[in-house]
Amino acid sequence: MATLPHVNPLDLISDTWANSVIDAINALQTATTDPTSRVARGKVGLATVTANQGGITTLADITGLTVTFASVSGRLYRVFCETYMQHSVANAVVNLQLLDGAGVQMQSSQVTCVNTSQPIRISCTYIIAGTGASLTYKARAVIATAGTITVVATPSAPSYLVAEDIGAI
Amino acid sequence: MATLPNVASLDTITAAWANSVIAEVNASNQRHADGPQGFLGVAMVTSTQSNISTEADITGLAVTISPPANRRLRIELKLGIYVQAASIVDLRLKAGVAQVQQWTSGLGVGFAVVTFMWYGYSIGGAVTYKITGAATVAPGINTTAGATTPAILLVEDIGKQ
Repeated sequence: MATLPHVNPLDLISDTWANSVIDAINALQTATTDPTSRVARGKVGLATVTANQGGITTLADITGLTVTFASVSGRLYRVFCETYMQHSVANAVVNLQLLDGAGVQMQSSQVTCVNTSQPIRISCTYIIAGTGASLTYKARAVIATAGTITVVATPSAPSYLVAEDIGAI
Repeated sequence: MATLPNVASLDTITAAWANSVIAEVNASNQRHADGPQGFLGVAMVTSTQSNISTEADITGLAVTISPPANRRLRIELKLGIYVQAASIVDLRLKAGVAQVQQWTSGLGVGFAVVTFMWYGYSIGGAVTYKITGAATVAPGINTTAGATTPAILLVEDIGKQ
């Protein structure tokens, strides 16, 4: 993007000069709206949960950890989810899954919970290309070892799911 | 960000007014250039790799980028592992052959997910960032990547250094 020259006070403001200003403003606007622009546009969806969800004995969507956003073809999105989980059995395995709107698993993180009294922090990252359609992502807690899972969240240690535009493909 | 003055009539278009427009457009362009430029590269691995004890590259978890110098970079790793024998596990991020970030934990037998970030800056020219793994006790670790649980190495430009 060119740096525009200042106008000498003695110069006449010409149509050429005016058009160079217009071109520069248009280029700037294009940079913020054109799907091929590399510039990251940041958060497109955020869900935060601040209360526990207990009693999960097989699998369950984590209540409130769902985001839906209007994707743009040619853009790339990062979906990130993080939460605490706690298992009722020592050395048991839990899964945090990231699903799309149709319930198809896109990503998961599998962790062994060593201690029954200490929740463990788990996160999931996924990268997805925009389609031009509305996209939904949600988090699910899945038990891999018999027992009960609690998804642990508080106002000072919230679970969250965020979707970000990270630039052009 | 300055608010540009409106013009009351054509007669009031002065060099000072024109230069305020120019200054703001130039400043906006600079803010745009200095801001996050976003995605630079990503590696997604969907197959497992077994028995890593002596340090070895995690196959496929490598990204080569060529940003201009003095851009702030953020690199994020997500990798699932299974520890086969209690040991100290190392995952390392390397720029070429130089280590720039390390995740080290003493782990028992079981599953774990390694996630970390590194913030650095570009020096110009192509650089390959890759992940290596190691464990102190054989048979070491297995990665647990799959089609629905991919390992990810993501590189982003997050702004001017």
